Amino acid sequence: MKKEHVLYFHKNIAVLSRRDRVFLNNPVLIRGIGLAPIVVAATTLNNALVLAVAVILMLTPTRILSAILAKRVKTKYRVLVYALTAGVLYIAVSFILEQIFGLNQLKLLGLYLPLLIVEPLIIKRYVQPKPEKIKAALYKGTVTTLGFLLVLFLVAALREFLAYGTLYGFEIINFQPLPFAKMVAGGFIIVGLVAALWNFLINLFKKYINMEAKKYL
Amino acid sequence: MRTKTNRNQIIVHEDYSKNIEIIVAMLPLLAMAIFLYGPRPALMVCISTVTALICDKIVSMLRGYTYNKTDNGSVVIAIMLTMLLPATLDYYIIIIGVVIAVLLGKHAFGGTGNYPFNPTALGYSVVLVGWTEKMLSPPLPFTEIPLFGEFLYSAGFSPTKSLSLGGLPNVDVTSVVLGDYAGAIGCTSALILLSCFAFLLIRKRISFLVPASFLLSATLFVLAFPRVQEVSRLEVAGYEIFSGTILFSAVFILSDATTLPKNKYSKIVYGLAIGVTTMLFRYFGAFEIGVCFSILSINSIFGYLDRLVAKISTKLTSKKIKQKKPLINNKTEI
Repeated sequence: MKKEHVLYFHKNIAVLSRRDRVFLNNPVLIRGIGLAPIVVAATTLNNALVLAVAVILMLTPTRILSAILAKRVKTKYRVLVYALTAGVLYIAVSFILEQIFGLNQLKLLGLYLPLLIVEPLIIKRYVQPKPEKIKAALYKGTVTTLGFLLVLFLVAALREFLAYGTLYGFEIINFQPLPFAKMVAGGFIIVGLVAALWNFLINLFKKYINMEAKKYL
Repeated sequence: MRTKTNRNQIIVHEDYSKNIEIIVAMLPLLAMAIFLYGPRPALMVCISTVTALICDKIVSMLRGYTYNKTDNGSVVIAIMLTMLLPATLDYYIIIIGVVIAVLLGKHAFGGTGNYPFNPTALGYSVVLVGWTEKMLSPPLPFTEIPLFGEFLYSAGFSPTKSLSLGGLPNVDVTSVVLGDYAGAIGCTSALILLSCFAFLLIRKRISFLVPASFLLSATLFVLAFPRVQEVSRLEVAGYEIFSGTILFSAVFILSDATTLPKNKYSKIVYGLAIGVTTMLFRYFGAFEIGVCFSILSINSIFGYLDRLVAKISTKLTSKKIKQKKPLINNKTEI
């Protein structure tokens, strides 16, 4: 790594580990929000694709719309604004999803698609007392979506491979290495293992930055 | 509980001799399995033991402490898990089960003395849920099973299966007690299991309270609500208790000291709770075997229950102390 990059990371590691919502502060693996769809519904890459489109269409727009609407609302009632906005948006999103994927595929996800309305991943911003600026909402929404999608596809691919031996329906190996992975309990265990690995990599990265920065300082 | 050692200095782990005796107590069961199914059970046990040792070695490398040869808790877990499997199970499934039990159930929570869930029960549940068909179609006794390669065999109808379908088992109670029916390799012979129980009790390696209260509550539950009405309640209770994995779990799986409660009263409550939930899992669950699920579910709430029972028992005993008369008698002083 270049000297400038190392020094930049070394200087800003505390801020970055709060703001970087893709790697250092991933919404799912570090902050633990948005677990329900990943653990329960993301059993195959096919399901993950539906979930991904739904989250892309819902997360950032909800955040922006609620940021506009919640400006003059008291903190106490802001949760209603966020949840209702997500609910109204879901009506449109469900029609779009039906057009793209068809009803049969949406039925595979069951309840967990409409439950996105009250998913902390989408409406968690209501907790903070200060209303959000629209630009910040756009930026943070996009980055959070990216972080979520990364983990969603990673976990879904792992689970599909372990449970069925396939990837997106194409057969890779002849047998099923761990059929347990398609169940909810297996989902929890796999997400836990991925989170442990993710934390290990982050610690390794921080150690590396510290060691490199010592050479230059 | 984990002991750190220098390279030259060897400290014997405190559970070493206890674990050795539990393994010795399982050897008669293995001998019976070899008598019934040929040499394959022995190879299964060897494979699971080697897997457990490799897992221990990997964890000691990852966590950066010297590998202690005398810390043999994982071997006990692996052999217990193998005893719960049918003799025809593929070797790779055994390896996956042992890896999950040892790495995920034991070492992910911090190793010996720290895990909240019973690793054997965890590994068994994962294998049972993952490969249900292979797990629940054990071969009939006295079928010669080749060591390697695929083979056809006639799957036996185990007593638990017929009970879960609402019918009477096709074997009589005496053959259930002797172990002459299709089942897992180490769980069929009730007589050997009871003698193992007696051996471990005499050597004071397991607690008497937990298995006794577990078996008592399970038996009482069956006597109160029998699943089959055609024969007497006692006979149904005999079928339910002696078949399946109940007796093996009572003797071996529940003896795991880490997941046991410490208090005497909470041990009784623990056994009673596991007995009732086991029968509920058997009656209403998706599988015909319920012990491992019930152990896991009771383990999850038992941290709280242990504290509750301890609180209640200390309250009761403190009241008794208050009611006692003062020890010093004033009259004698004068």
